[in-house]
Amino acid sequence: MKRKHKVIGKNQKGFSLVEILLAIVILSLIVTPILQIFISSMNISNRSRKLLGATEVAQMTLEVLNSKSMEGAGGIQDMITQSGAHVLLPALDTYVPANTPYGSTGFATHSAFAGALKSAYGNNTSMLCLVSDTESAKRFSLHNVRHNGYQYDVVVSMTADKEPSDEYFTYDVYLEVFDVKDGNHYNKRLLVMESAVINKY
Amino acid sequence: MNQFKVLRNNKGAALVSIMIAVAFITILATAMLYMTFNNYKMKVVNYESKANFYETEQRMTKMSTKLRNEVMASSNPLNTVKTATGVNADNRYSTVEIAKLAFPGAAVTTSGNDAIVAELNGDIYTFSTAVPAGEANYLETPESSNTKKITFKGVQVKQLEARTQNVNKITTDLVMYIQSENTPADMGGIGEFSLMMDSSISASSTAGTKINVFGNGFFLGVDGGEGAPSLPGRKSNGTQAIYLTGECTYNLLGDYTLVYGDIVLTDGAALNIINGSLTVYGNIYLDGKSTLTCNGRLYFPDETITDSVTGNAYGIIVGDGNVAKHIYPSDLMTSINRLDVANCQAIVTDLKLDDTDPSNDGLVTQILAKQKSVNGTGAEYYYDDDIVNTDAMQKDADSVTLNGITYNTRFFSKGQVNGDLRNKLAFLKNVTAIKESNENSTIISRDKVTFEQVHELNLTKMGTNAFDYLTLKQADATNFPGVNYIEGVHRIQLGNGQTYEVGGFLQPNANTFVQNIMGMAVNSAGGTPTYASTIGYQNWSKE
Repeated sequence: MKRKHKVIGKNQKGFSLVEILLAIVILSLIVTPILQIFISSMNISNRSRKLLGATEVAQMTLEVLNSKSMEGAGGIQDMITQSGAHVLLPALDTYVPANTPYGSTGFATHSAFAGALKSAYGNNTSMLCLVSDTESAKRFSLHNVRHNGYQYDVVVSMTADKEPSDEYFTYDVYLEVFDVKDGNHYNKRLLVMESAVINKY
Repeated sequence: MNQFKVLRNNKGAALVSIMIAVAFITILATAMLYMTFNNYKMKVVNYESKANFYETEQRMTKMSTKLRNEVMASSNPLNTVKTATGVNADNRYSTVEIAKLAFPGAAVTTSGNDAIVAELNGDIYTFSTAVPAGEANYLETPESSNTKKITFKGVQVKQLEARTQNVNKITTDLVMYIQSENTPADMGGIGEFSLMMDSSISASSTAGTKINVFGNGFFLGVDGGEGAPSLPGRKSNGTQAIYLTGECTYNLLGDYTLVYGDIVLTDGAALNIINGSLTVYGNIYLDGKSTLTCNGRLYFPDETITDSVTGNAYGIIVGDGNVAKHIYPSDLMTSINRLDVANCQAIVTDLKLDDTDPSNDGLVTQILAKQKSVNGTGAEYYYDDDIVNTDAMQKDADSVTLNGITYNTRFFSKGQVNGDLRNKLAFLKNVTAIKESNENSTIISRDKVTFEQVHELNLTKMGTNAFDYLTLKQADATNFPGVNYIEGVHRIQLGNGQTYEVGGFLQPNANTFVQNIMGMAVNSAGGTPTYASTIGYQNWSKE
């Protein structure tokens, strides 16, 4: 015990302020890059999972479009113009049904409907927005498609590849998936896919 | 000793420990970053490979759809399939033609048996077949009497994506079914005849031949040529549509039978209209040994009948020797234009128009009255041997009593009819046009209306009324000199998008513009086949 006291007594000098400050500076110089590596790693992981989710959403959307062309006599035409078009993608079980069913708002045209939705848009509302719906061109967007813990906006543009007399023809599909961040739509385009669907079987 | 000194001197050990820890954490973080980044790159590759796959599939989809469309637009699908895909004598399709279907209008080059299309963005597509050279890859297999299965074996589409250098390859058998349907394509909405003939049914047998014909409806017609002049009952400007002699039996089982010509049955022949109505634009002749049975309604819309019915026709006429006595339609006789008094002695006595529903009572343009008929309203009396010829009646508001039921009638002759014909028996002859009296009214709501020589019948305001029977005859230039009509046309304009149910000549849902009816019916025998097709993939794989 005596010896212990002696030792302690011998080293009663603490670290000086300069030493502590120096240590902090050195430590921060060392730790900061390491932390940045971790943060970068997390960001990349986040992007990775988001891209995977977007790819799956795009794939599911294309497959649903393809399967819809096999339903009913009118195929794709029936799908887009049906009054219950908000159930367009039933295969996406994570898809939140529209709060405003299409056709119930009294708007005469698709463009009027789309414009009204745009101005009245609020968070946490998933909706189908028809921009154009003719035989030659169709364009619609799906807001807040939820998948893998992320939210996406999907925009589908379809252009008919047909001669006037063709009974059977294909639609060239241009599909874009956007990131939804803090309620901001079309925040960043994550991916693009192109495909073709038959108008009907 | 020195070593001990070093060991005893532990100054700086903390710094070394920290440095080791920091180094370890750094290595760990770097490894994690490396793995995460690699994971991200894998996700990118995953996305790009899927995107490329859909682009490749896009070409397969376009190719099969284009092919199907060309087939459906063709009058000869099998030849179209072969031409569009360049099938040669060895039953091999051309990869160049397949590529042209997938990329309409694009430049196609060849490399061996492969066809190559280079897109503007640098992507290169190669079309080939997985079937070895010398082996057929185009197969035609009959599936049934009217269906053929066509298989394109081993169709391959390969895409080399310029940016990523990804290669996608889809290989599949393309299977197509082509089915022909022999229903005449030019019938429009007129009818769904199962059997249409523009020549006569003729049979001669002593062996008891029996033929049953099943279907929706039958059109048996002749037009033009003279029949055998020795035959009684021959129509003056045609010939017999059905000529049965000897002990043969024809059973027609359809919803309706339309005969454009005479029916001649001799020497024990039997014609049985088992189901539905029989409409005869001509005469019926039966000798004392033959039988005509009609279990449905009988219509004689033809004005030119002179010796309408003779002989024994059980179900229609119960005869006594060669003289018909009574008319007993087993269902209901709704329209008789003319029955000759010489052969029908007691028409009114035994004419059974006894349905209590007024809409089911008949149109009789000429009644041979053999018995006083009681008219509850006192408007009209018919006596024996009087003839009430509606042709002579130019006025309206007359009434006719049939079987104790009195009907208001409208008789119109020539000119244009304007007025409300609802709930009236309508006898319309030589009328040029019938039009609505005003925009909102419905002019006709009767179930049974006979139109004869009506040039134009405009029924755009018909609403939901149903015709049970509609007779349509040809207009002629003599009666309508000022009318600009097409020869041989009864022009019928039905309301767009409305549904008309016509159980007689016209079939249900005949809601389209119809013209040239008689000509169409007469000339449609055989018809142009229509085709249906399906297309799909078999043994599909991707690499």
